[in-house]
Amino acid sequence: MERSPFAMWGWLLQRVTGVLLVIGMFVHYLYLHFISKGHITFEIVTARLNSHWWVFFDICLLAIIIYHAVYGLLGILTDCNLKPATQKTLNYLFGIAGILLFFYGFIALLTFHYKVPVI
Amino acid sequence: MADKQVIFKIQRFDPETDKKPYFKEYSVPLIDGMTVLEGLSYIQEHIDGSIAFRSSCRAGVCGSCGMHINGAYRLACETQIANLESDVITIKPLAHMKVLKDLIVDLEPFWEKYRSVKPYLIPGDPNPEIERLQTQDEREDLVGMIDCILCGCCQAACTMTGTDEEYLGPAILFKADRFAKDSRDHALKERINLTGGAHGVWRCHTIYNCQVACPKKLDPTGAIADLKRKSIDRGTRISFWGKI
Amino acid sequence: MIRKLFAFIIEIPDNFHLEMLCFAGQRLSGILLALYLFAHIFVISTATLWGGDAFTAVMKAMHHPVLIVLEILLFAGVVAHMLNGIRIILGDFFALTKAQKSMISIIALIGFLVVSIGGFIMLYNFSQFHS
Ligand code: SF4
Ligand code: SF4
Ligand code: FES
Repeated sequence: MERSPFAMWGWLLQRVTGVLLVIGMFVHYLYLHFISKGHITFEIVTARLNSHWWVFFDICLLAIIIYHAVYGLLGILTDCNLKPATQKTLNYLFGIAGILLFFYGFIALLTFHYKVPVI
Repeated sequence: MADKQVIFKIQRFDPETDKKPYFKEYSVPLIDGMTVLEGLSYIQEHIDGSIAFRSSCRAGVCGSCGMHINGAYRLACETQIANLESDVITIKPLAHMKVLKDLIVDLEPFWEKYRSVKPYLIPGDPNPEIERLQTQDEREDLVGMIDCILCGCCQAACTMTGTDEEYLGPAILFKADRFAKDSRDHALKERINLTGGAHGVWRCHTIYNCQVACPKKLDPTGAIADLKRKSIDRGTRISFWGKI
Repeated sequence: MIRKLFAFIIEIPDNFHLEMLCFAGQRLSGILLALYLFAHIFVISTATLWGGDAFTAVMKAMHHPVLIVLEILLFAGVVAHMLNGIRIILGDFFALTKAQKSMISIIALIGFLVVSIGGFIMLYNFSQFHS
């Protein structure tokens, strides 16, 4: 067997994003579920996302959690020892899906920042 | 004084006549201090000579008699029937390996993986005149590393060896780390290359099944974690600064 | 293939101990949380797709007694996945694999406390602002 930097980085980043998510989800839950009360409305969210810090935080959280979720699901398939060609296709498929999902979420976030749909 | 009987419920399979494995029950008179292996031998000698299982040393040394006994992987020769606290003893062969007959599994793929990690000392320099010395501390690094009897219990307990046939598995990676930890060994780079692939340490999800299963109370999970750290140490440096 | 995909559940009876249950729980919660994430992103994007009022309407509809229970379950899933993940990372990176059994007890205790306190606050907030 050859050492595989791809497998190593995938595994390592899953742990790194895991640790970052512990911090990120702590803030996310604390602010959105325990501090802010009442019905969430479009205005409440736009008020929060007026701040560049919150936008930055949410974009980071989005990117990190998408990596963690997509790599996690891909990992379950990788564990099944698929044919190399199938595995490669899946790697690309999941990678592209993750990137698309990130941009979809990114645009959704910006809607709250600019108060109108950006596209 | 054989008044108490225990039922041995054993998974049988003969590739020449059976399509699927099935369970067969045998009643064995219990003797004080009887082990599961002794029970199996009793069945073979007095009830059904066709039953097949592996054993050799009867003392927990050779690693031949690893099997799934009443919900856990154990060595048949080191398991007292009385300690199982059950009148029925259910025995299955090691999982994730091809059953050749009854409780005997095909270990050839296991040994192939074993050989692939070079399970021997590679000092990389000519032999010294007397011996290769180790300090007390260096020797202590190997405590708990050299006691593996290659029984395969951890290998069978690991979920990943079942889903990924090519995964080296805890028993093999444990051996690889035993040499990676040895101060007299100078082939760390090679060992990392041999174990750091997609079917190597990165397939391990730290489930701890192997640690729980080990009848010798060793820590394959810890050994794999050690290999992972060594692999990351080297791998990240190569990724960031090129060849080192 | 199906057998392999669900091996983490199928093999529980053969390896029946806490460690295996932690692993199965980690996988299952991971899959469910990933699916929730996709739904979550979609719900947030209603503002982009149909405007701010649609978003507010969806949020209002989600302020529902049944959903608050599901939300607390979700919170429990997040906390469990997180704490078990921390246990795995501590074992791998800090050579604490031999302490993993005690770590299970510790994370179970922390998880219980966090989920009961958090769940209580969520229920309280809900009851205060549900009209
Ligand atoms: S810790 Fe790793 S090797 Fe051990 S049972 Fe789990 S996945 Fe298998
Ligand atoms: S580590 Fe333990 S369970 Fe695994 S092969 Fe060695 S002795 Fe057997
Ligand atoms: S017969 Fe040798 S270990 Fe059991």
